[in-house]
Amino acid sequence: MEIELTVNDIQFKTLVEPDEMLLDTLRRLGFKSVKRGCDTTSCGICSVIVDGKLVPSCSYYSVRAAGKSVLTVEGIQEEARRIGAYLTAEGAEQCGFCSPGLVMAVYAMKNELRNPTLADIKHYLAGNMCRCSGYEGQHRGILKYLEVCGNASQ
Amino acid sequence: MQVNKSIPKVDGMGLVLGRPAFTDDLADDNALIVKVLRSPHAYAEIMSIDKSKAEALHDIACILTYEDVPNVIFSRAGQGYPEPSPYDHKILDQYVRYVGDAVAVVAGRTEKAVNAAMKRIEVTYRIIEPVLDFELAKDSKIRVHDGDGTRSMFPIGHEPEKNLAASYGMEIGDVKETLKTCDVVYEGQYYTQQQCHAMTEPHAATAYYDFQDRLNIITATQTPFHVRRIIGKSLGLPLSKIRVIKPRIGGGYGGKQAIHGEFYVALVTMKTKLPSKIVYTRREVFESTYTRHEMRVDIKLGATTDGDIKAIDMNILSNTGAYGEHALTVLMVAGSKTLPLYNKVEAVAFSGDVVYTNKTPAGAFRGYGAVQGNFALESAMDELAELLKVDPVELRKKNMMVEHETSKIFEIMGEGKEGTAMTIESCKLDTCLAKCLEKLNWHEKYPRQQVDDRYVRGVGIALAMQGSGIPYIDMGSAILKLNDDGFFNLMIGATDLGTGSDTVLAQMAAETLGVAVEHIIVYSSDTDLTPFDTGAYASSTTYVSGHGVIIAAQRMREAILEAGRQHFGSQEVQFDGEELICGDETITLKDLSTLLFYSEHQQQLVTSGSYVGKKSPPPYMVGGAEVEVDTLTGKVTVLNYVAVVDCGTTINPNLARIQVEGALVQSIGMTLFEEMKYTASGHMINGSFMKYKVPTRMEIKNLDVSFVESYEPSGPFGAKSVGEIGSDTPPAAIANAIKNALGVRIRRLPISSESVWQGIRKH
Amino acid sequence: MKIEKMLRPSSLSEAYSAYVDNKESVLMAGGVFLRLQKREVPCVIDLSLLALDYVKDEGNLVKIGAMTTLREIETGDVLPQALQRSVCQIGGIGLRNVATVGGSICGRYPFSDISTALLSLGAKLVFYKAGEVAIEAYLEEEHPTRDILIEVIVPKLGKSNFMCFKSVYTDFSLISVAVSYRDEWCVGIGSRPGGPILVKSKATSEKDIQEMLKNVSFGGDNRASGDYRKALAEALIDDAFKGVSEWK
Repeated sequence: MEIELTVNDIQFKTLVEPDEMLLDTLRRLGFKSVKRGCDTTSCGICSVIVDGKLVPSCSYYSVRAAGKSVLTVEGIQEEARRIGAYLTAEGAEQCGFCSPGLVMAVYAMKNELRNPTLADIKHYLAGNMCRCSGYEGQHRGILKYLEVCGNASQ
Repeated sequence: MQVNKSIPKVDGMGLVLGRPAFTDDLADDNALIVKVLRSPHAYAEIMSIDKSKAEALHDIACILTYEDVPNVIFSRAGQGYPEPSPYDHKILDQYVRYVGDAVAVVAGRTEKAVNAAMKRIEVTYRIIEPVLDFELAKDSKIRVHDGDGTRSMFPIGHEPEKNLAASYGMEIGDVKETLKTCDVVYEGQYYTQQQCHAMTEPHAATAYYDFQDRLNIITATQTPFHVRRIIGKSLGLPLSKIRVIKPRIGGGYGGKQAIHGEFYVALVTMKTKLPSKIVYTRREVFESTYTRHEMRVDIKLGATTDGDIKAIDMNILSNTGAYGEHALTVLMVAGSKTLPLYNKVEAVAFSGDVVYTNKTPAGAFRGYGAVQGNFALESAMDELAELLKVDPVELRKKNMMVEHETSKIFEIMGEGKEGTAMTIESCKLDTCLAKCLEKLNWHEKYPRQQVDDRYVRGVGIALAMQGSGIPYIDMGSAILKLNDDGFFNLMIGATDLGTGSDTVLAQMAAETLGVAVEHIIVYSSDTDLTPFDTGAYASSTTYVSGHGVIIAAQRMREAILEAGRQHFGSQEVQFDGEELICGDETITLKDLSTLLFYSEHQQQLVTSGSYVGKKSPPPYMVGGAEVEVDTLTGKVTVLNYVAVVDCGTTINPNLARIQVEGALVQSIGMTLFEEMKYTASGHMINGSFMKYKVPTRMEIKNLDVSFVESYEPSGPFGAKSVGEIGSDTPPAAIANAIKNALGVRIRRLPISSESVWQGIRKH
Repeated sequence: MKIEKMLRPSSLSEAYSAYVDNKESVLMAGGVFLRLQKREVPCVIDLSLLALDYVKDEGNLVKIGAMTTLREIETGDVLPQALQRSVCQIGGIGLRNVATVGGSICGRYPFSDISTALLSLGAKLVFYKAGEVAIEAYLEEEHPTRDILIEVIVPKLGKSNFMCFKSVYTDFSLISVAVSYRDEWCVGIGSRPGGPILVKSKATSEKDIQEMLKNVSFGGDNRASGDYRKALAEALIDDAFKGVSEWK
């Protein structure tokens, strides 16, 4: 099936299989930041934003992205660099395989929640798995990032 | 100072920004897709394979079965050579020994085509009754490896006719007699489960030929040099014809310390001359790679009424699954990295068998046996204290290792053979213990606090030790190269798998050279371009490879000074990291390095250094858990986990902290949640992240990690290792905390909420 | 799941005729769990272009379009507490942005937390052809007729609650319970082998949980024993009742 979609402000026209997942389409189009962690919607590593909503691209049919606007880490480099500065200051990115998905989730969270508490942050990011860091370093970094953005509670 | 300083990881920002960095990001977009047809049976002989219908499909490039590949037997374990693991594995075999074992390799242009082809391969199996229960495996009439040429490189107790992959025994003093003289003897049995590494990046490898007709393999491995050696030997290629490149790795924890998909892509590319790649599915990672060794640990502790521990006897049955990678060494570490904690005993014995079963193979996994041994020993210490009616903290204090002491075990137990005697020059267990108790508010909280009629809290502790590399085996090396503009390339064989070792090693190079760390560009690891390193395992990188880096940097510093002497024509030259100074004259390193390339005494400054450890100083840790138990549901919440660590100097305190925090959470997962579950026929039930649950951030309430002042004289800048030590204490500390909260002792992992609930009901 | 062809109808009638004309076709709501099934289907009918994602406040009841995502339910402001609480621990937010209420019901998953809540609330399902069907009746049917779920109607009960027990936050529940009072106690019990059920009880007080559960069987499986599930259910129902003050 032929679809047209926008990825990070670039318009694409591409052929997709009916059972193709957005993850595969995006990687094929060159957006290698999008990683496959589980293939069962369980780890959040493949997270991208479609029309403003955080979705696991491993479980999002590509045909459904037709006419929609997709955002990956490649499309929010400046903000990713800001978030990344706080994550790396804690060493919390570790192997980095889950980092692009986490950055997308943090970006979505910042747009969606006003002044989240640590509990709100953890609930929002609960679907973003990390096996290296033990999470606490991520939380230290994210809290500081939100504080600097003027979007943290207290 | 560039060391003992928290700086961001040198690769961190690039990874966060999503730059192509991992194996699958770097593979040729047109690489053939390689997949493996896997056994649906736990044990079977392949009577026939008909691949003709599959080969006839469009877009299929090649299909390989055991009939098409070299019939060689080897070990996939990425360990020192000759390996202390049995040679019991073939690339593809006529026998399949667990559900998920490889049957055929299919390569095609698209995933769709390969999937279709896999369905058309017709395999006739002669199903053999499997041996699945590891407690019934030894001497079973069913043999997992039977007359298939399985052998060992040197004596490791390998007796395939008894289903033994390895076995070991040692005794210091006379344990039986000493136990008879003890006032109190505690005897207990503990079980630990198969745990999955669950690294986020699945195993992946890609192969292609370069313009020199050499086979290049990019692979997510912890041991690129072992990969080159094992691939070369098993495929009959001279090592000079193979280049192995390790890109960034999405976690390993021991799970990538072996050969997995590398054979398949190598063979496909050798046959088709086309680039190929394999990316394991998550199910394959669970079912067809590695697990932590399942163990049964029997332990006896004998003591006087005064609380002097006089004898320890530890006996282990370990399950290596279908293949024996790391079988002996993981078994031995369960004793050698726990028993020396209590070094004042008169007698100590350690023995064990590692059995083959028809389950997913076990392999290296962070902690490497010490986690299992620690669960038994540190639970047993609390149980002994209870028998003795003494405080478990006091019992430990009285018997634990103290700085400048030693243990005979260091000399006797090594990497599958005898070890290396050493005196402990840094051991701050006493400080760690005091600080941990203080942070836990132990004196107020021990043993329990009733929250209300439903919830109760308890605290528990455990001590731990690990090692820092394997003496006289683990070798690390480095090359430093000075460029014009005054920056350096640091090329290391050490394999950063997400830990931050590239950064830590750059910090050591910078500190030794006296330059800013920004001037060091790190590259790891590539068998063509970087010098040898045994690999990222055994907590060796900081300690062993770090020394190699320091030696290279010392030589580079001397080479820079020598170039300065030539430049100034004087022996009186100093280097302050930016400038070379000779009396009133100065030249920046930046300018000197450019002169050295283009206009004056032209030469390339390049130095190297390599190092093999002479000892393995243990890092120490005290872990303390505060848990809350819901007595109606058995749910255990770890409210706080305190870790106080002695790892010598922390080269990068942030990264050291994250290493410990990450290890704690993996181990809390093992303690409470994680377990491979099988059907009666040996099929894994929960082989997905949907069903195999690693802790989410919601399970983690508070981690309190700190480091005590400590300096290891033999270590680089006083450092010891920190990669594994964080894994060891959670099982015992949490089990002890639950016991203190409820009076219920759980001796089997994982401590599921149901097992706690059952315990409460029976109590 | 391997899909040969995907249809993306833009009207319900088009979708319905495609679905009944081709007996091998499969309806796709969010697709999250559907795609994990190991089968090949010749035709999938995508329901995402039918404008079925909405939450309408209609006084004493709420109409929820079948394609409304779990996240929309979680963050909606007029929905009963039991329903909102039932979705917020299903996977991560990404999953909840894709999975839908309709898919959760019609997938008839034994682990469904949402169906447990909807059973307790006495939700009605509106199908394209069959019209209104009580969710209880729908879930009891062994082979429901081929029809398209359009809407879920939920009474706007002021007092209802939901609790689940998961070993890890994003896991499937070992047991889930939902409670409400609609002339009698209506207790939904889910994540038991056999799927979610509704228990109605005339027990005099919310404290009489034993009475409510007397005829409920709790099966065991590889995740939990029946006895343990029962103990969890008792504790959770008690918690659920305690979470709301003054029931009647």
